[in-house]
Amino acid sequence: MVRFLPDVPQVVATIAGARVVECAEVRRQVDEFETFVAQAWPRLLRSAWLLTGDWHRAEDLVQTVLARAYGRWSRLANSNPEAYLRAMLATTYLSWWRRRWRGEIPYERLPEHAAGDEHRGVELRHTLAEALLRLPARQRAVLVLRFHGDLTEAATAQALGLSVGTVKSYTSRALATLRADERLRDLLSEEARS
Amino acid sequence: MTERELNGLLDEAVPPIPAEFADAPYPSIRRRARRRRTVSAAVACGALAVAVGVVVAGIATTPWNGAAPLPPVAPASSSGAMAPPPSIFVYVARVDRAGTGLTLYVNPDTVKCHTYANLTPVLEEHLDRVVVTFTGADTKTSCDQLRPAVLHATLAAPLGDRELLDGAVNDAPPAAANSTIRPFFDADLPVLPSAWQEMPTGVDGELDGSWFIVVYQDASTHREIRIDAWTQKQPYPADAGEVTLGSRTGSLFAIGQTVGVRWQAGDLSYELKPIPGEGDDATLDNVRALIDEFTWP
Repeated sequence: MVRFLPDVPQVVATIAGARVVECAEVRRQVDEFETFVAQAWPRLLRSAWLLTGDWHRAEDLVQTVLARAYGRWSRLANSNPEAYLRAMLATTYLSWWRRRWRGEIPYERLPEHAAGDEHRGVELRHTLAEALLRLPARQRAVLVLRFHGDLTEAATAQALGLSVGTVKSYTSRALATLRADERLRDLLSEEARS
Repeated sequence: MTERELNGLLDEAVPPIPAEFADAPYPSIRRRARRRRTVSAAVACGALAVAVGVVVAGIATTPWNGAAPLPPVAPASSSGAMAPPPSIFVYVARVDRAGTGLTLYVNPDTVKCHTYANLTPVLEEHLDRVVVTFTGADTKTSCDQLRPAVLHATLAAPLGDRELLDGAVNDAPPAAANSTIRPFFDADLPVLPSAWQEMPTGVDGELDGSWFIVVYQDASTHREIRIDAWTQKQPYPADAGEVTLGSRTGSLFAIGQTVGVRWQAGDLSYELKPIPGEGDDATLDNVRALIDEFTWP
């Protein structure tokens, strides 16, 4: 139908026909997008929390990324949208951080302490989370993409606009920092013994 | 700790998702998507666009609520009879100390790589609200240089407590909550000595309307400060004591190497932080000295 567009007498009918097709197509895409979001929301939110350390900011970050993905869904749907969105989470977070618009504040303690939470690993979880949130933003983003998003080194490098060598270097430095955390080390040793 | 161990540990580090965040907020995502104007396929499909919350065009010119409108303020410079863009949205509005000067930040179209830097705001003033629309046309630009357009307009009377509404999404009464532009007020900020000048913030990309920043530099000493403003109260603890800021009480904070002071003005949150020079650290004493140096409302 599109090939008739330059032919003026047929334009109206063609455009009207095309609209019907687009409406059905857009409807399908919206449904598909919402189905995807319903499934991926918790996973994306958890990744965003690892980056931001705060549920409000995590939700803000995921919403920002999903709003961008909404308009590109026809292109994203046929690839691996979740991996793409995880990369977008990291790059959007880093762009906020770079511009310092979000006023990121290093955390001495997390806002959400698990008072009353009797889960055995809760102390480990908090200690690890606090250690992660003290890492430099880029190192944290690399860890989240590599080890929470399961991206390869090459994919992480591509997503963040870094070289593979830099990704390796950030990973190594971040792990060294985490290993040097005495409290975390003690808790991991206890966990291993139990 | 090995890389393999970290794989599982990262997931364990995340606390349980609070109930309030358990479900995806579709309306909010759609609203943001609509503001981004990236649903190009839906834009071509009027009926469905409404169904999915994508409102196209519709720049309001008819007042509602029965209140007689004040005449629209004539733009400072007319761009002629060009048709306005189909719909653009104000993300941040800043009101000057006099209450009449508006600075409006309008995000670029990131799909078409258009900016709105050449638009002219038109203000329709009512007793209870001010509706912002625009005339002019968008401009093609480099996709690498997309910035929010910064547009200026002057109200006939101070904004006061009148609502500021985005005309692009106010084409039907009653005004929807998401069409209200939450303005930031310079009057909430301290008055700085004349040596301090506001610096361009060099905004890249887009704003989302929930926060804003101003940066000042003291030309004589090259000291810099930044003031962040949020439309939501910030949840961070104030752990370094309280301080009087004119008619308000501020909370000093020192978290790691980040120090500053926060205060509330109405439902807006503000935070002032010194920007340390390279190799320097800011201290609470720096913050206290700045507080004393400024005049607070």
